[in-house]
Amino acid sequence: MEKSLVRFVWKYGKVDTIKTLIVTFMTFPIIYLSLEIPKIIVNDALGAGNEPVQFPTEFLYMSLEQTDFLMVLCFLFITAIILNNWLKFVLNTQIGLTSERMMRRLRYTLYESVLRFPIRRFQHMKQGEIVQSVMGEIDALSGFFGEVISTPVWQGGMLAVYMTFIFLQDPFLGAAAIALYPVQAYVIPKLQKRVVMLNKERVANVRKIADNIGESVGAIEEIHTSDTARWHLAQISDRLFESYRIRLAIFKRKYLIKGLNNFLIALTPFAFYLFGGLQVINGNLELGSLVAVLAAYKDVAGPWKALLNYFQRFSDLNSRFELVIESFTGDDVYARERIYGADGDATRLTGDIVLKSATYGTGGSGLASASCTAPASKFTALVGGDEGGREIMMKMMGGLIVPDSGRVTMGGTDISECTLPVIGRSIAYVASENAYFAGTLRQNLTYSLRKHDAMLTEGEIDDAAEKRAEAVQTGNIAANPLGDWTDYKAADVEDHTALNKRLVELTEAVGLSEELYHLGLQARMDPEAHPDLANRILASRSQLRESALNNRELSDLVEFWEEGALNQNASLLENVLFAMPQKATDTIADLAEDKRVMAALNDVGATPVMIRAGLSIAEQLVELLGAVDEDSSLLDSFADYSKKDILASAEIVEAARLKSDYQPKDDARRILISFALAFVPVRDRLDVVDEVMEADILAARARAITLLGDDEYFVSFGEDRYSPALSLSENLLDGKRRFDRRSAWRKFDEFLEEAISKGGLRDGITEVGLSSPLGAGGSGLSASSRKRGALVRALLKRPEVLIVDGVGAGSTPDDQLIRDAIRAEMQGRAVIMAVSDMDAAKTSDHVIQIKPDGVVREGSPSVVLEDS
Amino acid sequence: MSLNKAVDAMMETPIFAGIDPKRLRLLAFMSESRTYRAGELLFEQGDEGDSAFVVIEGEASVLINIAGEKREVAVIGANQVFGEMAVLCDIPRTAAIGAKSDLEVLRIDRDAFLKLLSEFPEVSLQVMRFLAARLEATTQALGQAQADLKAQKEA
Repeated sequence: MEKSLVRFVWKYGKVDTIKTLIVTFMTFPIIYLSLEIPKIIVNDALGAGNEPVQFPTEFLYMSLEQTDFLMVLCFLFITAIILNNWLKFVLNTQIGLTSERMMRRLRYTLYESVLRFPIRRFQHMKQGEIVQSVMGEIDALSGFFGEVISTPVWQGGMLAVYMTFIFLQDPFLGAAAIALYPVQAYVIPKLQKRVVMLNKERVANVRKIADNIGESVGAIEEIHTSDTARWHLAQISDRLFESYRIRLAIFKRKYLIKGLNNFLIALTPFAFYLFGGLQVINGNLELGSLVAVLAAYKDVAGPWKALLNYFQRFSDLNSRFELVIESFTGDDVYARERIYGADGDATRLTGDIVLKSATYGTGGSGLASASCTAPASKFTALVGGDEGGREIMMKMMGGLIVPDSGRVTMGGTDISECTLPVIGRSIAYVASENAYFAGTLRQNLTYSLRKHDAMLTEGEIDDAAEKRAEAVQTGNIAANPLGDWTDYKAADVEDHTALNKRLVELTEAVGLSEELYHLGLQARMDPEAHPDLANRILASRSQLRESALNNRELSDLVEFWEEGALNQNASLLENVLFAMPQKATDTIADLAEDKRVMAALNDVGATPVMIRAGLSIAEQLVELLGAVDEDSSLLDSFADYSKKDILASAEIVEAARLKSDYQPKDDARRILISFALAFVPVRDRLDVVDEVMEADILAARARAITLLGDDEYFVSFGEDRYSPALSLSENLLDGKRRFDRRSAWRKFDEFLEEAISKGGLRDGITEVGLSSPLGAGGSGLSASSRKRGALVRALLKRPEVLIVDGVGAGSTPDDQLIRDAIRAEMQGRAVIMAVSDMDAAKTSDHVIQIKPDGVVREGSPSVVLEDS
Repeated sequence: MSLNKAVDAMMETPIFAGIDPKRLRLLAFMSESRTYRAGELLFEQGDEGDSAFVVIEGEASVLINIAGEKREVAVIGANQVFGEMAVLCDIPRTAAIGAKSDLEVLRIDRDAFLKLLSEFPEVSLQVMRFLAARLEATTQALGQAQADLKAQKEA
C-alpha cells in the first residue's frame, strides 16, 4: 500500500485528478475575464479612461453605440460570472467524487488487509481499534482526498490570476500587493507553531490536574485525619494558575494571528488608495484599472487563506494517513494471493497431516517441538493438551496458525504455503465456539459453500453497470453480495433442491432436526411462499382447539387470549389491537412507523396510554443503561429496543422531566410509542403497567375489536386467516408462550406435534425452521445446537480432513451420536477429533496424546492409552 | 416477577453481594426469569454449561447419576447461586439440577454476563475477589486433606 498521502492520491486518483485539473485550468481565463470586463466598462463604456472611446465603436465584429456597448459588456460580465460559478460547481463535485472514490478504495484496502492478517495479529490488535481505524480515524480524510493535488493548484492558480491582473494594470501596485506575503508566510506559521505547543502543554496540565483530583479522592481518609486539605488546595490552585497562564498565552497568540492577518490584508488597499490614487491624479493610471485592482484584491484574500489552511490540514492529515497505513501493513500480513488463490486452481490436499518439530508459543500453554502424524482416511483421536497444546496443534493442522519453527504438511505440501481456497477445499475446522452471522439458519449452515463469486450482472440488479464501473474504478470486488454465492459443486449436489435435501439429511444425522422443528414453530412464515402449509395450518385449528381444551397442563405453558384480560406474555401492541397487521416486520417496534397501525391506535384512543407507557419504559431504560458506554455492544443486546433509540431516550426523559405536560414530537414520539408497542410485561419485567393503564388498554381493545374486525389490513386473533406477523405456533393456537416457562416450551411443541400428526405438518415446519432468522451471533440457537450447526457447516463442503475440537468429545449419548455421525459421513476420509472420553478414544484408529509436560506421543490406541 | 425481587435475591449471594445494585438490576434485566414446576429438570449432568442461576423462590435439588439412577446429593434454597462456573469457563455441567418444589429462578446467560463484565471492570474485580477467596478456601481444605491423608498413611 502507498505510504504517503500524495503518492496514494496520484497512483489511484490520477485520472480523476487530471480531470479536476483540466476544469481548474478552464476557470482561470474566465476569472480573468470577470476582472477585465468591469475595467472596460468603467474606462471605455463610461468614458472614465484616459483615451475616450469614439462611438459607434467596433467590438466583437459589431458596431455599437455607447448604451448598446454597455449592455453587451454587462451581458458578457454576467455570462462570465455564471460560467465561473458553474465551473466551480463542476469542480467541487469532481473533487467530492474523487474524494469518495479514494475513500472507498482506502477503506476497502484496509478491510482487505484485516482479512489478510495472520491470526496472531488479533491478539494484540483489538476489534475496537481496527473498527476505529477503518471508520473514524480516517473520516477526516474523506473530504480531503480530492483536494490534495487540486486545491494548491486551484487556489494557487487563482491567486496567480488575480496577481497577474494586478501586475498588468500596474506593476507598482502588484508589487505593493505581494510585498507583505513573505512577512505573512514567515511570521504566521511561527506563531501557529507556538500555539500548537501551548495546546500540548495545556492538555498535559489538564491531565495533571485530573491526577491530583483523583489522588485526593483516593486518599480522602488520609487527608481528613492528617488535616492536609489546605496543602492539597494549594497544589490544585497552583495547577489552575498554570492552566490560566497557558490559556492566556494561547488567546493572545490566537488573536494576534487573527489581528495580524486582518491588518496585513487591510494594509494593502491602504497602499492602493494612497499610491494608486496619486497615480490616477497624475494621469499615469486609469480610474477603471484602480477600481478593478481593488475588486481583484478583495478576492485575493480568499485563495490566500485557503492556501494557508490547506498546508495546515495537509501536515495533520498526512501524518494521520501514514499512521493508519503503518498499523495495517507489515511483513506478517499474508500476500493477497493467499486469499484469492490462483485462477483455475482446483488442488485438493490429500494424504497424511504431518507435524515436524512444530513449535508455537511458550510455556505450558504452547507447543514445543511436536512431531506426529494424523494418517489419511483414518479416525485420529487427540487426547490431553487441555492447557492449550491441543488447540494449537489443531489450529496448525487446520492452517489457522503458522508454527514459529518446524513444519506442518498435508500429503507433503506445507499447509502454511497453501492459499485459502486450497485450504478451504481440503480442510474443515470446527471449534467449540463458532461464528454465526446475522441471517437465517440455512444461510449459516451453507456458509462453508459461500465461495462462488456472484458477479454483478445486468438484469438481476438495476444499477449493475454503474456499480461495476465504480468497483473497477476503486479496486473493489465487482460482486453482488445478494446473489447466489453457493458453490453447489463443493457440496457435490446439483442445485438448490438437492442441497436442501442434503441439509435435512445432515441436520438429522447430527441431531439438529429436533431443534429445527422447534425453531420452525416459533418462526414466522410468509403464507404466500408456503400456501399449502398455511392452508393446512388453518385446517388443523379447530382440531387443536379441542385437544387444547382437554389438556389442563397447556395453560401452564401458554397464556391463551381472553377478550377481557391483559395477556402478560404478549406485547402491548397485541394487547391493544387484539390483532396484528397482515405483514411481518423484523420487530414490533418497527410498526411505530406504520401509518395504518398508528392511525388504528389513534382511532381506538390508545395513543396517550402508549406514550405514557413508553415514557415509563424510557425512564427505566435510561436508569438501567445510563452508565453504559455509547459504543458498547451491550446496547445491542435488546432486540426490541434498538441501540439508537435507547441512546436517544436519555434526551426525551430529560425533556419530560423538565415539563410536566410533555408532548413528544416526531422522532421522540415514534421512539416512545415503539418502546410501548414492543413491551411484554413478563419478559421485560419493568414496572410499567399499573391498574389504571391496564384499564385504559382494555378499554382501547374493546373499541379495537369492533373497529378493526372487518379491516383487511389487520388479522384479528381468532380470525380465519393466516397471520404473517405471528409465529407458526401462534397461528395454530391463539395464545402466547409464557416467557417464564421457556424451558418447558418443548412440551408445548410436543403437544402440537401429537395434535397435528394427522396433518403431516412436521416436514414443512422443519423447512420453515431453516429459514428462520437467528439473531445476532446465532443467539436464537442453544449452545449445543450452535456446535451441531457448525458441524453441519463443515461436513457440507465434504473436506478431505475434518478437524473437530470441543464438539462431541465427552461420554454422553449425545456425544456418541455426534461421533457416529461424523464417522459415517467421513467414511474413507480423515477425521482428527479432540476426545476427552477415554472409552471413545480407544475405538479410534490412531491416537495422538499431548501430555501435561508437553511431550507428544502417538500410536494405536492400545499402545498409547494402555501405559498412561 | 419484578426485577426488584431478582436484585434482592442476588444481593444475598456471596458472588454478587459486593456489586452495585444498579449493575445487578441491569444484569437481571439482561437475564431471564424462569419458573419450573416440581420435578422438572433445569439441566442434565454433562450438558453444555451456558448460564448461571439464582434461586429466587423455592428449592432445587442437585442430582448425581449413580448407577444409572439420579440421586439427590444436596438442596439449593432461595438466594443461592448455582452453575456460575459455567458462565466463566466452558465446562459441562457436573451435576443435574431439578426443581424440588415449584421454583423461580433468574437465568443469567453467559454472553450477557460477559458483556456486563467487560463494560464494568469493577464488577469483574468483585467476581475475581469472590473466586480468589473460594480458591483460597479450596486450597486450604486440600492442603488439610493431604496432610490428613499423609498422617493416616504413616500411622
